[in-house]
Amino acid sequence: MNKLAALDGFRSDCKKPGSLVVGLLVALVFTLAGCSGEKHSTGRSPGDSTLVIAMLGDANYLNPVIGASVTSSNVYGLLYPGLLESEFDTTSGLLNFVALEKRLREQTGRQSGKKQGAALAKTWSMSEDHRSLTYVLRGDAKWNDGTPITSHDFKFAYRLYGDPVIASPRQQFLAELMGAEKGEIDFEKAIETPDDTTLVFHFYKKVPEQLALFHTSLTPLPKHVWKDVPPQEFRNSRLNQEPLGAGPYVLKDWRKQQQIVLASNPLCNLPKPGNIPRIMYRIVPDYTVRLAQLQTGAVDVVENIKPEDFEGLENANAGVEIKSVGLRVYDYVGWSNIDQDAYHADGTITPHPLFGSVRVRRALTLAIDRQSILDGYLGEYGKVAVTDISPSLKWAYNEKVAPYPFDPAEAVRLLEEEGWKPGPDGIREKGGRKFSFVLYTNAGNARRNFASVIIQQNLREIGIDCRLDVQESNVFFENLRLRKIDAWMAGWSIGLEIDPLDGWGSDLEKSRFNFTGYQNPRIDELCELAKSELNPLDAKPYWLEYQEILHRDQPTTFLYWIKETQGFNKRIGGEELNILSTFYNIDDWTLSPAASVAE
Amino acid sequence: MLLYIARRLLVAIPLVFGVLTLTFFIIRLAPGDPAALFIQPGISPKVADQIREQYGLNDPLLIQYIKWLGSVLQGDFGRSFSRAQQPVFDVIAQALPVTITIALLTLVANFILGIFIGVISAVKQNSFLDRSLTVGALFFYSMPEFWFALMMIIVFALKLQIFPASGLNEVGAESYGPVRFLLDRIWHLVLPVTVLSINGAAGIARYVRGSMLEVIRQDYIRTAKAKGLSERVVIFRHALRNALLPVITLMGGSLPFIFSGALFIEVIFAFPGMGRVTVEAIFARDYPLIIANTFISGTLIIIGNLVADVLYAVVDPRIKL
Repeated sequence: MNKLAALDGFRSDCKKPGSLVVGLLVALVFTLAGCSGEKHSTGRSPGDSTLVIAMLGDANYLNPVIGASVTSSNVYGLLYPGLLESEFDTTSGLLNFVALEKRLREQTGRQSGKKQGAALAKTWSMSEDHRSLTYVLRGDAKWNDGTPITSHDFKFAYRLYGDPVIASPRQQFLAELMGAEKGEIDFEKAIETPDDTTLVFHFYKKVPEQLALFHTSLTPLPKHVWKDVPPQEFRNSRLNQEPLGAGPYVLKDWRKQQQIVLASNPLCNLPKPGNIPRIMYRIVPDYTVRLAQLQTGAVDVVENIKPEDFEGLENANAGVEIKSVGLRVYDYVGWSNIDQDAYHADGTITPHPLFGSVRVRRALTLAIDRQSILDGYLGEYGKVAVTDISPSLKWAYNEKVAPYPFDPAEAVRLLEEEGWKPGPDGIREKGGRKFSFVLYTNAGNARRNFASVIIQQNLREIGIDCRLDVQESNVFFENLRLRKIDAWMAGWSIGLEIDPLDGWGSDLEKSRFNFTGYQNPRIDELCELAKSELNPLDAKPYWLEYQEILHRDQPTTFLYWIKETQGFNKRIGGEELNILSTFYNIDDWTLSPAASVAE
Repeated sequence: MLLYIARRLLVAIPLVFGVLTLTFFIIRLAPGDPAALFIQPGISPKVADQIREQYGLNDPLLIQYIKWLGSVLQGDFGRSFSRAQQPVFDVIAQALPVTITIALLTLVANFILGIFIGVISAVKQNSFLDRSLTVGALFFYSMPEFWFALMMIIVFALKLQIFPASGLNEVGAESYGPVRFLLDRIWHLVLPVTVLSINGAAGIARYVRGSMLEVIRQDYIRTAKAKGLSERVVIFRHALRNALLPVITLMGGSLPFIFSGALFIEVIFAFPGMGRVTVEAIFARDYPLIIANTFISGTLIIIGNLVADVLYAVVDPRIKL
């Protein structure tokens, strides 16, 4: 009886918590709903006028001085004005800079569809001695609050770019300004603003015009808004949440880790407001989900689609097309050229016991069936690589250097010549050392996983034991940087200006990205010679020789160039992919309203 | 009981501090560098160092710890490295409501579903229904949540297109009225909550079944049946109440699992909750944010356990705190 009484007590008590929980939940969902209750009223259905782009991660800052990710620059590029417009000439493979009334060089190939006229500079002139560059700015450009954009905004912004407390990732752009050679830029002398529309940069040395234009065209910030923000508070400033720009779009809403919403800026005259009324960047971290949303039409653009998913997408009812652009990205297998233990112990450079010999590295390249990797994974979206000069940079690319063929017999011959003879277990040996190593790669890259398995198989066939190991990306790149691993597979995304010294320079302390420890004084020389040419085209012979040397020395096995493949909903019109960016002319895109976003 | 609660809370303080201190040192032992983003070609080598200086990472570890301890004691957990230097509690204040909503919904769904299945299995012990429910429960229990989530997305979002695949709201939901907005929000929560709760419910169902079977064999159940009470009344009023006692402790214990489950679910369904914040903070080596997250989830778990213990005493008069 006692127990039953107790149970009755329980019954009367237990109802309350239940209803309380339900009440709490309803309240919670409502608060959540309330958080995002901003109202917009557009005449049309929101899907018709909104372009939805799926992104892997959020932008960090929508501020050109400190924004440090591709996503950030994709977004703030639409909010802020630019001094010059850049374009990529697909016929020559050269980067070009365009002001309103002047171009660095004439377009040789097909005209790009991008509407010109966004530049703030009317024209420029380079001094005879190549030590100063004078811009004439247009007078009719205004920040969105109506204040004119003047040369002072540029000078002000450059001070911010150069401030060590702000720690802008673009400090490198200031490397040629007066005073930089002494470690501290003298802004009063380096940048002059005689009047509102004249902007003069002074360099401490001769600078090629192309590089000067590239390095002086950083995005300005409105001085009148930012001038009272102390450098220590620059990164925390509220102004970062409400950027004042002048570009074709304005920031409407930024909900961290969820979405960034831009609206076309009716005030824009640089050259015009964006075509599509609203652009929404949605953050969807998982690839499978991004893919599913592209297929159902919930999002319009997804970048970096894997080739294995093309078929599913092309059959999707939402109407998806794949576009590709390249070639800026390549994968490679890095071999440590030097004995890292000896280097870390006392800085001595001795050849690596396995990969120190040129002939061994050449044999490794010959043994790897790069075409099979391409056929199995990238298909037509890849190309066997010869060196790190992209075939897209046509002016510099050496057509005469052909990639090593897949030739295991030749590889074996080279290894035998080097004294690597098969041991009792079939693994080659030399002086008691087995040819056995671990090939590291970073986690989460399906393409490299696929390639590494084929490489392992290929090497086993010529008597080399290659074990595979996958490391978390942070750990992997730290190990690379500290030159702790002997063999690895990784990739590079190249800049459109050729500047490879960081990756191959003989001074291993200075060349932070020379993970292999490769040293060849002629490569240093060629890079310096090319840099000193005032016209990049004159550097061509140096780059041709550079490619011959890298091909001969095989400091790494260059695997393949990768075309980036992006998926677009067919309701988007006018999109023009460019090696500069997927969203190169996004302000000119159109949305056909008939095919609205599917529910 | 109040004394008991106060004592438990007092004991919790050094516990939380111990955990935070351990976290502080462990994350710094992990390879990787919060400034690694700035170590790449084209970025001056000075930048990474300037950034480290700003974050105070150039000090010796012990000094860093003392500085950190000083500010934490004043309630300042610092600013996030990876999220535009927002104060970490601002980041968490945005993320926590999302996760708590998911966790509470999941908790409720977990228990309702779990108890329902458990009772049926126990009452129809060894029947075909019991067997298939048991096998089904085991099947879902052993399934990895992230995989299950992806399968649900493929079936319900991609093939059948009934539910959305990600996000908290539809594009343009801001222009909906409050009711439609709420419905849209619930629509988006169906898949993730289902994934999280099916897994947990399977475990709870096993508990309920076991404890129910034990209770059904008790004398007072036979007495109740002998009194001529209907089967329904016997099961629900007499047996289930007692059988639920051990299950209630599960409630507090399941909170950490729901939280860690929400971790994957939030990444997959693109919810800006605590799970995503934590995962991204770890990959970005965002030390202040990792520590603050540990603090929040540690505290919630301690409170969850306390609530479970107190609830146990409330529902079972034999237990005195």
